Amino acid sequence: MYNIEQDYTDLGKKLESMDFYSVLADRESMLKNFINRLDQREQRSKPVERRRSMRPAAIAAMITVITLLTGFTVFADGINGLLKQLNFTGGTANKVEQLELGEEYPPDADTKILLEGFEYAEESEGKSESFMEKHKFASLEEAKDILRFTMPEPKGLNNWELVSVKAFSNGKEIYPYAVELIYDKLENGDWQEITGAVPQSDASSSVFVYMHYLGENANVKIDTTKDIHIVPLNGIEAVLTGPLPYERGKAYGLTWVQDGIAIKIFPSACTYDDFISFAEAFVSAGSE
Amino acid sequence: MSMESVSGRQFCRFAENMEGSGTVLSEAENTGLSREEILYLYSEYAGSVYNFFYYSTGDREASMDLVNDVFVKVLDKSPTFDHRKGNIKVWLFTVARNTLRDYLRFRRRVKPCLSIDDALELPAPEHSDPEAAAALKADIMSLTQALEALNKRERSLIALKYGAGFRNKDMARLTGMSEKHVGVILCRALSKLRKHLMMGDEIDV
Repeated sequence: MYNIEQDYTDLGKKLESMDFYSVLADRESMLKNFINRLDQREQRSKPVERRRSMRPAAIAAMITVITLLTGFTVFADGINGLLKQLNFTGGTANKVEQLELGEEYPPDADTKILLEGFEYAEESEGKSESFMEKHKFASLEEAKDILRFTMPEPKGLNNWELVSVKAFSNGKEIYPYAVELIYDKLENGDWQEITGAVPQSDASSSVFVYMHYLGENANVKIDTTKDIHIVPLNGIEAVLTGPLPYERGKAYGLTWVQDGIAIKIFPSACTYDDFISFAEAFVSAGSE
Repeated sequence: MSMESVSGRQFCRFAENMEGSGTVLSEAENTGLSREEILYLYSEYAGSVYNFFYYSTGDREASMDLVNDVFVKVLDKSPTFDHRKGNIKVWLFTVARNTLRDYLRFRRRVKPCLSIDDALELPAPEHSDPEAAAALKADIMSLTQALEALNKRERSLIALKYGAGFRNKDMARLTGMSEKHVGVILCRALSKLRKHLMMGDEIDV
């Protein structure tokens, strides 16, 4: 007689017996890689040397966190032409300022929209100490208090929540920004510090704090300037804001829309080619 | 390759703490993990963390990278580990889940990366005859494809259950769901998997 429970038990046992690790993983290279990372980590143990030894991969990782939908103030003159060029609105200028992602790029029911707010906080030697004291936020209010700046409201988002806070410190080394601290919200609502390091700042350096919000139904506006450049990324046109040729500190945004999500990255310290290569890794050909 | 003298200190104080049900670092000792300790932890859990990631992503290469990311994060965070909130394994997989979430955030379309060609290139599992190895590869391919039929939550629970080896009770704690709810979703997920595997008829269940 057919017994569905027995069926599930058998399947469960089958799944339990599936050891992908022993079949699929290159365990030796994994371990080598891990030991290398331990070695590198030990080499970076001194704060000053640490930034000097930042590698391009680490810089790229830093850039990845800047994924957002912009709810920022728009340079209105530039935006219409820009969006027309990108066919964001079918050339209807009036729709640009009220562009609804849900209308133009209907996401499925589960799609959430990522919005990032950005705030800048001066940080001095003494203040950074108090920054170190707390590693978890019990609530949004507590996060505000601890981070000691006014949280920007994610305009245009409904039902939003703050899902992560990332802090960057800038130093005087070759690479001016380093990811130092990440708080992530757990599913149970607690906040957890993900990275181990705490911003190392002195009187002459600063800490940048990025906050990621998750919400719905954003009114999308593209943050840009008068200097607009269209950059092809795997068949998608992206907007590079800032002057060309690319120079560190001058080009300050690359934005494209993919799967109904506007994605924006800020460069920090890398070559233009590295920057574009990095962006390409996040673009799926033909998705727009 | 040897495990870089993991056994050199008889699995050290951390290993001692892992014995039994406690699996904790005591507050007095919690000054963070040493190199040997994290390597021991790696030797103990890399497999289940890998299986968790593979169940979650279907991507063998990414799973390898993610495993190492997790253990580096765990090492960085070990001084702040609070045993009162759970044992090492629960904490480890909390970090793993967060790492997975970050990864999926940027890789919005998750698709199995194990092609037929990939499967043919896989090394034969140790201590198995060629026929058994071929059958295992076929099973893995079928299962990888079937996992795509699951939604995010179902897949996550399957990964925790069969990849990480958690009990429903622990999964409920990790996910914030009730134990009953976990059971219901798992049952639904197994049903979907079974359906897809039966359609493929390539795995012996």
